[in-house]
Amino acid sequence: MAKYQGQAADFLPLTPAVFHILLALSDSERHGYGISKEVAATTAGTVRLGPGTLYGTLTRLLAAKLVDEIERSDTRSAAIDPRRRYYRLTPLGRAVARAEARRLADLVSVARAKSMLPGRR
Amino acid sequence: MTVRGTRTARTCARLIARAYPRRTPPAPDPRDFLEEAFDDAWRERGCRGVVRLAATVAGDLLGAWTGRGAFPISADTRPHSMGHRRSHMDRWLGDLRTSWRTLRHTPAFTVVAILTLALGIGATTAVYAVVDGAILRPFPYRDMDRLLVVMEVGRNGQLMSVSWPNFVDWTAQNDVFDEIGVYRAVPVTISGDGPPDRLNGFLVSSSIFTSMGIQPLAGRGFGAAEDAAGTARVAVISERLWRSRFGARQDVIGLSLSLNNQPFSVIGVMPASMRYPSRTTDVWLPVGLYVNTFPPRGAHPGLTAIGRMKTGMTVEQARAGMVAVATRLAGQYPDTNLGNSVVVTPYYELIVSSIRPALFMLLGAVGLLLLMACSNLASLMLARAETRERDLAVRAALGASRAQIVRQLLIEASLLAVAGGALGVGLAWLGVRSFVASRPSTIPRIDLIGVDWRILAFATLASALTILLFALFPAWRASKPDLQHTLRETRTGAGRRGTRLRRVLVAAQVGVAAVLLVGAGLLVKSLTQLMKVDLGFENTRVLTMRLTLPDASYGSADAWKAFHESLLQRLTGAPGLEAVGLNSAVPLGGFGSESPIMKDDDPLPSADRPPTLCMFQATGGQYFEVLGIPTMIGRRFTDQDRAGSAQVAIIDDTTATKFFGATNPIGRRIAFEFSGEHGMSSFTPLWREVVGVVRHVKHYGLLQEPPYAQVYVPFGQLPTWMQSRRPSMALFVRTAGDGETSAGTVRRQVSEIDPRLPVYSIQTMETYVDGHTEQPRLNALLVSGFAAVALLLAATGLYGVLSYIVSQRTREIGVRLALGASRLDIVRQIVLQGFAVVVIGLALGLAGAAGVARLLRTVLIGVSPADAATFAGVAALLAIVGGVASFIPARRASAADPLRALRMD
Repeated sequence: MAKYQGQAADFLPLTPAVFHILLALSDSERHGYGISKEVAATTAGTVRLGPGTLYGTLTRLLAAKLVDEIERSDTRSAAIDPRRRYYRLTPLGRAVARAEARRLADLVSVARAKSMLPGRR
Repeated sequence: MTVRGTRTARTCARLIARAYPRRTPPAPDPRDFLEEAFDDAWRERGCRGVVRLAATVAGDLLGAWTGRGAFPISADTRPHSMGHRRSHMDRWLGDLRTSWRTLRHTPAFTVVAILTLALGIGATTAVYAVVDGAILRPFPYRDMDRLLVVMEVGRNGQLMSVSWPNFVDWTAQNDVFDEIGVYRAVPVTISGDGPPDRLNGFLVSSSIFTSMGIQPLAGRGFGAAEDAAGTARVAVISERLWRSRFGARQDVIGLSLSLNNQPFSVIGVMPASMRYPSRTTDVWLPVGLYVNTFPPRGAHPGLTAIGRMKTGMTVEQARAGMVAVATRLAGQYPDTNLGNSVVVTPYYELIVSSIRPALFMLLGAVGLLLLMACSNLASLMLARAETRERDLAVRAALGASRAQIVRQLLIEASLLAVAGGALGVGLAWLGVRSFVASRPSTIPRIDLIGVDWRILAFATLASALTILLFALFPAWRASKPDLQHTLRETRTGAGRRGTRLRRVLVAAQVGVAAVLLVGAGLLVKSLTQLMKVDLGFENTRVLTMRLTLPDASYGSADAWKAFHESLLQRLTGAPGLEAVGLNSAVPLGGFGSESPIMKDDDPLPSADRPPTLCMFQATGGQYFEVLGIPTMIGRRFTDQDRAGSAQVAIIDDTTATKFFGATNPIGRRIAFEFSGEHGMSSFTPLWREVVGVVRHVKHYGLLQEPPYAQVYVPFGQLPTWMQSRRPSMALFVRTAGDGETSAGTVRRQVSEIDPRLPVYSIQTMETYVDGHTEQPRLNALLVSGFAAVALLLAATGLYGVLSYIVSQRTREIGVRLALGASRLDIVRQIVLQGFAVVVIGLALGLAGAAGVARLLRTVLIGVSPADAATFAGVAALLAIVGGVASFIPARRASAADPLRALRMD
């Protein structure tokens, strides 16, 4: 992972849409709608990614090799389409997500130190 | 969830998925997402869920189309940042999206701006299309600038047609032209296979075809053989006639036609581009057929000469050369040619010179309108930029460069210009189509006028120019906000510099409106003067039509007279016809037979005593009654005035005064025919007794008054010259009721006498007279239209700027009201501010109008370009309109609640 750290820094800071997508893929491969549902669920519905935004961003991520695409048959949606496209993080993508999370954590620490947020300094 | 519901959801998804921008694999496919999303929405919330999802997806769809490339990974705006490597295209598209959004959020401004632009660009494009088609577009003739028209001019300066023997000598003696020929309109009736029809025919010399340089579609034009007397009866027909009458048959060459009841053979077909001598020429006949009918030197049988000047010569040199030839001939033939000369005019000038002043005036007027539209828009853009000052200041603070802000504003302006331009072109297309459909007779090449790529290029240029004029300066100004000042400023002080500029713009608009209004006023007044001209006859309930009797069937004066007498007999008393008359000329028509005239106590005219000229007409039936021409003294013609009885004449009151002064002319004698050798030295006048005096009738158009005596003779006593060249008569009918029915009655009666004769040019005299005021009416209508729009633009501009001032000073006004100022004071102050702008604009505008009006001199009739009443009227109108436009916001200001105003920031 260390070898990706340098590259990862180039992508920071991430846009909110990108970070949410990377987070959604961090614990599981998902297909497009699955990503959108996961983001909506983890943000209590405040962030909704429409298909245009989602797929526009996914295209960028694919091109930047932060995300990979795989084909897998989905038993649940077999009635719709036996072959669905799934996405997963690449090692670089994982490194970028981690780097952004670290950056945000550092910012939160600073905010806590200045009593902007409750919690230990 | 029902199966049907699932299927519906999936169908929705599939349809919407198709609307997304296509992505090449391995780019993701939105269909996956959509099918499942719609499925879920249906399952969880049913129909409402699907609808809500569809609405969300619709917005996302729009974003997908307009936001391509705008999904950066990084939020870093530094150029080297990987996530923000946006291409030029992405930047432009992003600006486009922002501009579109901004314009959408201010629909009132956007709609007004687009409509203003559409009006300005549309009107300018339409007028340009007409000017281009009529004048600017190149003519199809070879070396058009070398085609010169030659006419004779008499000692008294009056233009005359060409005498044949003179023309023959010109051809032999000139060193000016490569080739020169003559032409004249001839009445042609076609019969045979198909109904009889009247054709526009011309006798022409062979050089007419070669001078124009247009190749025939089939066969050939005329050659030297066709120029000589005794030539075979051949004809060249037009493409239009070939298609309409002969079905574009391939074997048309050699086809036999019956023209004027004589057999002719077709030797050629000319394409539609051959529009000489007239756009509507149907058939060309060789001059050789008519050579033996032309009168001797001294008579002018309606011929016009046209030739192609030698290369390397100038028009001035050509003129000098032909004048030298004319002078030589005057010396050789003093009896007929003394004092006569020639007038040489470039053919192009003849076509356009009468219409060019009017067309360029219209182009100028519409250009002013476009300027007004641009200045109105500039004012609007300035106001808008001020309301966004804060917005733009924030952008600048966040790092946007000046160029980026200017680009953003220019893109906004361009969107408006593109939309306005497109709508304007549509309006122009409609306008040009309806203009061409009205078939205005004064515009040359009317059938070539339309909106094509040339006009579109012009419209694009106009749109681009308007962007520069109305957007660049406001964009430049708005892009340089004083950040600290703007971000801290309260509303009361904002926008002072902008307001001054807008006031200047409005004053300019008032000035331009003043110029257009003065122009319109002068043109309208000119038109009313024209319509007040005393024609000398009545044109209500009168129908006119023409008949041409072919020589083949009516080869003698007796046969010709017999036909007309028979026709008059049949029509007199026919149902629906109150009175019927005949004349060899139509009033205002300008066509007439001219001859020297003398009265009984005059010495014989001689070479050094130029005679007075007269214009004589052959009259029959109740011509004077039909046209309401009153008899001042004496009597009208009766059936007794026929061949063999005493030769009589009727003169008009102008001639009576000129020749006889206060003495009674009845019983006196005049002569305009002279027997013996045609020449003034040895002849005998053929006297006619004056039996009546009628009121003067305008014969050479509405305005011209050449100093010809007007003489009427009964058509039973045709002058000698008319007996050999029998004129085509015009029939005049006073109708009791419906014109169509009366026309039908006439056609029926003519057909009963001779079924091969067409009756043509049927129209009411009202329509005929209206045709003579067509161009002045068009000028007045169009410029008045422009002036009305300009007035509206100026009024709204003034209203807009004053409203803005009032809204900016609401707090100040509140303070004043609270401190005891009366509402009247407030109103007065605002109105005076408005008036100041109007007065300055008016002063500049009227000064400009005085200059512009002088340019209108050539199109004004009976009105001085410095007409005080018009200028005063325009000043009063603008003052009133300016007053109203100022009063409305002033009243609004005075009605403000002081407490609320004080609380505003």
